[in-house]
Amino acid sequence: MTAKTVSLLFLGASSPLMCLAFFVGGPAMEILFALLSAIWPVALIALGVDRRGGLGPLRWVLLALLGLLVASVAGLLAARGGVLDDPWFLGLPLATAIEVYGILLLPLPLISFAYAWTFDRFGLAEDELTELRERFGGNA
Amino acid sequence: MPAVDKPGIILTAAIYLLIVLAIGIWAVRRTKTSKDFFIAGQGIGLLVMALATMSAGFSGFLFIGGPGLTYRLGMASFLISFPISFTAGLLCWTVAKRLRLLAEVRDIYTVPDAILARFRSRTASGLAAVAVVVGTIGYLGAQLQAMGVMVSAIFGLDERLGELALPLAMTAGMIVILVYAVAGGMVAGVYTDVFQGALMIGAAVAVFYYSLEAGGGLGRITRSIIESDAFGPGFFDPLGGVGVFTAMGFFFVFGIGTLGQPHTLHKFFMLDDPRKLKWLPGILAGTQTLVVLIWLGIGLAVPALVATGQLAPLADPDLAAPSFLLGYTPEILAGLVFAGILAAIMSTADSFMNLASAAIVRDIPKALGKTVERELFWGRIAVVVVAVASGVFALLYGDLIALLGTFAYGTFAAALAPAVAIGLNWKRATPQAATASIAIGMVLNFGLEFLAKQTFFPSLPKPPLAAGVLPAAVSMTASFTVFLVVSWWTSRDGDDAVDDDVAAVMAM
Repeated sequence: MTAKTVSLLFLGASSPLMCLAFFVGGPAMEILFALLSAIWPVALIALGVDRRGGLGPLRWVLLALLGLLVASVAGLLAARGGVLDDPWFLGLPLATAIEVYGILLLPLPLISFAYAWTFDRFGLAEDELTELRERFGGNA
Repeated sequence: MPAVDKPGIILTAAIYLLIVLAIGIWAVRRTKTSKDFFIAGQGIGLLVMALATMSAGFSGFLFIGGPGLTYRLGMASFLISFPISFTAGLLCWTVAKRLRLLAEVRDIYTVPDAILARFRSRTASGLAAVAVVVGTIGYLGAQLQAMGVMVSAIFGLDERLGELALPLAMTAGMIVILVYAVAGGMVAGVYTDVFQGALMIGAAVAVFYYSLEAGGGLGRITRSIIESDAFGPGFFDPLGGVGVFTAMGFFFVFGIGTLGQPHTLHKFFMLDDPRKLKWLPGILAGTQTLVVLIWLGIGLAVPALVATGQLAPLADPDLAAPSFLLGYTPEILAGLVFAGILAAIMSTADSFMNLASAAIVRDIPKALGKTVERELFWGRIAVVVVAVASGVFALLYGDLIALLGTFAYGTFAAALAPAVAIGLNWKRATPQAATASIAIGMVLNFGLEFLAKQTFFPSLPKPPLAAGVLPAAVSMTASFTVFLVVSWWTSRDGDDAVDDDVAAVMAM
């Protein structure tokens, strides 16, 4: 099964589940929605990256991003209501530190670097662009 | 909005407006064809595109509404902006390259153009154009309203002109935008965006420094807020304060919904060399993070100042930014930030004027099987018509426009994200699916948001959603569901559903 198929199956299964959660409500549905939301960006990136059935070295990057986002959201869920009890991290309570570092600051360099690093293989190589222009006339 | 008409602020804002006008006049000579007008001749470099994308994406909300929302909701509000850590990568990996390459093989200037090329469906493309126009009316009207309030406050027009202040301030601001948007089209748009983006970054970094200084450092700010009765520990509890559905709804709608924002996607058509996309995530996410510092700084400093009694509690949370700027930053910096707010509003407004103009002159006629002669001329006329209509609408129906403005983002996200993000990456996605998801996304988001927020018809019911659920999240998930289910239902084996050039782009 390719990464694209897995992504599509995930999106196809999770979107009606999330929709259902919005109408049913309750703590379990909240947790379900939160965790599925954290997986969506990775599933959509995998859908865009998958070429000829594989993710190459980007699979490790996407796994790291998935782990980071899911762990951050799980951490936020676990830390609810405990701001005063939590240990502090770099001037912030744990829940806020997870939000600032786990969701904003850590994924940013990971994604920016991985995109540039793999651009020739999973983005656009010079010869691919030349071939496209030769085959279809090049509008630019 | 209090009057902020200090000499330094007035001077800075006036200089800013003159520079923007000058860029517009300079761009006139570079706008000779409709390609120049709608996609800046597909000739802009990476840094210009990144700054233009950043400044068009961040409206005045970032400077005024963002800190106000933090004052009300605490750290949960940052789940709106923190997904910038991955949205640039998500955009580039999922849609940017393929949108730009479609423009390499065909004359594609807009998102509805791309949908027409991908699905060969005039219905899907026409509906996408209607979604762009509907969303634009709300977005543009709200931006023009906000600009009127800002211009009036900066130049002290309320005290001098009374009730005439807002319409006159809106008109004056709109004339400045129209001069450069009509004459210089997207060439003027992107280069004013570069100036405006640089201004926003400089102002944001400086204000962040002053906000940490005013609050006594991050640790002290945090403790002051936690120990206060007005805010308490719940302020720093991202999911505990407002509930999971709302907080994670922000993350979902603003993280995934970015894939359907036409003013962002439109910029990808303009890049001169597709291979320059290599560095876009780093530059875009980096500049966005710098600008978000202003929201973070003021959003934390003002509650801390209120908590320690240095600032009176705010009657209106949206006064957080003006109160801080006027009380705790040098006048010249406050002037730069107020100019930066005008910049953010104007850059977003001019992008939407151009998009709506393209939808009216190119996309909707194409969907009806017609072509418009003299596209450049009619494009310019359409910009004026769209701006004036939105302005008049905003003045006559201010509350309704404000309401429309708040859910335009969700309308774009629900209507366009599935067709663009999945459609460009999955050959089995069908025209029927695109048509159905665009229609469902647009109608459902409009209906749910209207029912949830309207006060015009008291007898209408509220949507049957769990507490805290964002209507945009519902309409987005429904739209994705419809897109996937209808595609699986209607797809056939074989590649003939996609033209060869489009198939080649999708395979890259």
